[in-house]
Amino acid sequence: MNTLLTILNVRATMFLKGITDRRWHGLSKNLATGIIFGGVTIGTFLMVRMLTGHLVHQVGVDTFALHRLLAIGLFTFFLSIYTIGLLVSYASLYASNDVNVLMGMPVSHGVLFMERAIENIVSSATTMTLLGGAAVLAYGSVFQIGFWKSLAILFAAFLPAVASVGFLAVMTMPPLILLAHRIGVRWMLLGGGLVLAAITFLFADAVDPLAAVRDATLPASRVMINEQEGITTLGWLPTNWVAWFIQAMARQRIVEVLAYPGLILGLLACVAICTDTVGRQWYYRSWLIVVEMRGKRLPSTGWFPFPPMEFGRFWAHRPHLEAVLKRDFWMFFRDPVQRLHLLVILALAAGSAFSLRSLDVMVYRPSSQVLSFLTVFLFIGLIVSSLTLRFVFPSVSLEGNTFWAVRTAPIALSRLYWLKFIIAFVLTFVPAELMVLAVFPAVLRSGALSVLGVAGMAGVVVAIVSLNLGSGAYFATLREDNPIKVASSQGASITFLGSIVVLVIATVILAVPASAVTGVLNPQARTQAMTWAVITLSVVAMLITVLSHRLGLNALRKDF
Amino acid sequence: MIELRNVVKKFGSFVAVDDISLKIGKGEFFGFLGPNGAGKTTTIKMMTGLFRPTSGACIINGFDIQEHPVEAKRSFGYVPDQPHLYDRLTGREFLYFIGGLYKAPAADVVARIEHYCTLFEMEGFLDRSTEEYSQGMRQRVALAAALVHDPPVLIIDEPLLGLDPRSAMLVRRTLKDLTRQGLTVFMSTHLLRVVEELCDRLVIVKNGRIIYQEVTNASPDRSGRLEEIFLEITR
Repeated sequence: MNTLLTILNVRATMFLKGITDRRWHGLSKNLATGIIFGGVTIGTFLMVRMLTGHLVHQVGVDTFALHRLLAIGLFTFFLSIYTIGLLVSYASLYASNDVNVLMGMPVSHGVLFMERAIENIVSSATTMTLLGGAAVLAYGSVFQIGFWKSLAILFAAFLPAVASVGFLAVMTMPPLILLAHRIGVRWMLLGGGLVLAAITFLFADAVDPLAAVRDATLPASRVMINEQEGITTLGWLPTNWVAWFIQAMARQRIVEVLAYPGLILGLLACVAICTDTVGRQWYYRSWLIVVEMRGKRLPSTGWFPFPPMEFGRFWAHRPHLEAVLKRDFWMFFRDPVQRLHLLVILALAAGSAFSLRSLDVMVYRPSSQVLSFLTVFLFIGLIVSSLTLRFVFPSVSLEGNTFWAVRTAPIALSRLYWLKFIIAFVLTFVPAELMVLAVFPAVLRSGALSVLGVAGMAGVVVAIVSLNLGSGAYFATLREDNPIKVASSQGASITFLGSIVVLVIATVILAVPASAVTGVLNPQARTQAMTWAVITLSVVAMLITVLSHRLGLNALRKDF
Repeated sequence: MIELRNVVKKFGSFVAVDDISLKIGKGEFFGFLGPNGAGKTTTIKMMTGLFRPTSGACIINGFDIQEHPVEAKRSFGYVPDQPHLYDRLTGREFLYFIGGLYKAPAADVVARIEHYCTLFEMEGFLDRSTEEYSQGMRQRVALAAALVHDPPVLIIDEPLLGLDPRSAMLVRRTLKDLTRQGLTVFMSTHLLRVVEELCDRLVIVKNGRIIYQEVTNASPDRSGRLEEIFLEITR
């Protein structure tokens, strides 16, 4: 225990030194971080409060339908925390230099595992927890839950649940490694994917999220719903304990649900004990297996052949750009973590697009149609933000220690930067617009809104890709070669929040023409509103792009 | 081929390199010596464009590395003290990658890779992932990468680090042969015997300043004497 506290103390000291840096550069960086984190948290709080308030007070939705939606939302939130935690845990447990150092010191494997678990939770869940916490509190505030009850929701239910899910994600990894050693990595991945898909399917089958969304956008008089339906369906789920606790707080029926904080805290204690046991029993064994598997890795050539990208096969008239392209291609596709990462993100994006398509939003009033347009736009924007954060933000960091080879070669850094931008833009733009085209016409049944969605998404993609590339260069950690760790760093969190700010700005800009399209304005006025919105969004996107590229290019030229 | 004009590098208030000026001619084998923290690697990083000098200029083959980076970089090959390679590429792919960056003709790159593969005895590992390489293997691949585009200048930081005696001998012999063919070599090292054996001229730096210069090929009987000088002046 003392060793664990000592290591955590060192980590905390390093963190504190970082955020209390008094030099001008550090001070400005920390100030910007504080403003962005604080601003986005407050923004999330206000936005969720406004949205929930609109649904409750103006549309007059059934509050139980809304609570049921909250329960589903919390399940999705915790499943996301688990998935991200699981992905990051491989890097924390097996690919971190800290582990290599500590493995050679007299630190027990249980302590080391616990330290890694805590580090993993902090690095993978902080931003999500901040935003999730703000959303939960905003939701509660609509129902006039007071300050102390809000704190109770946060500290007795929400945060312990986040920590439990975080521990659960980390303690899953060593058994998965042992399983992969026994049955093979591909079979383990296939099995893991199927289990995750089965859980999602069974949950969706039990709670019917589409009906829940529909009910939560309808006036109460049109919804026939049992008081606890949806939450009691899977009453044993800890995410439902959190939802039920919030619901009871909102309805001032606290005594009925006092057992739930106890259950959640008990769950946290159990999961922490299990994490410790897994660490003692299996961590070192699984670590040795990973080391052995790395050593046995097949030669890079000879598997996954793709002749057009083979080195030495042909040389185009721009061999320097071709060389960079081929390097990036193989570095990405030969990295099992990146492949898995891409698979998970694409599956989530495709699943979300499919679910959104099936959404049957009954449009009773123009304001609801505008709200649906903006919500779907925001949602697809969030997928774009996640995609870029995971794959664009780390692209400069992944130049890694071998950046010397490029920096000393006769290639202009601006060309390298633009090449990265063009690749990232194309690979983000195509799936983003495909999602818009797949979802908007089906859900909104409005050609004009779909066109607005396509144009708006183009601006958002340009701005967010630029932002991620630029700040990815600015916050580049060339000594960290694991893309998942890079995408979970403090700089990445700030960038993600920055992307959300861009999304909110875009949504606000699009709200005006969206209202015009669904309102009673004449066609000429609608076209004018749309044109002005697209021009404004283009100017904002260009501004963000230029500033991001300046930031990125200057960072790229820093001393190596 | 290489000229440093009053080069200074400061990190905050710390002066790492303090007004260094040098001129190195074509075909010269130049030794750059100094104790740990003397500013050798910082100087090399400024010469190769990895660091921006606080003041002064580094000119390679007539081009200022800060003013005309692409032209200057086309003229040299560089081997860093820690030759990190891309873990997901093979050594051969890395060499192709470097050849591409320098826009070297494909046929020439293929021929040179084969040549250095044989010369540095890399046949056994060049098609394996670099993740599995030892320090010595990495060093040999990095050296081949620095030569694969046939540069007129070679800048090397501790080139014999981690090499076994046979590989070290091969590298020494190759470098000497190449300087005879007109290659200019700027080498930073702690191996005084190697400097005595290979270098035509040397400087010793301490605290960022040049404190000793010698034209070594003018002193035929110098075996072991450099060590005495080094220990004396860097005390």
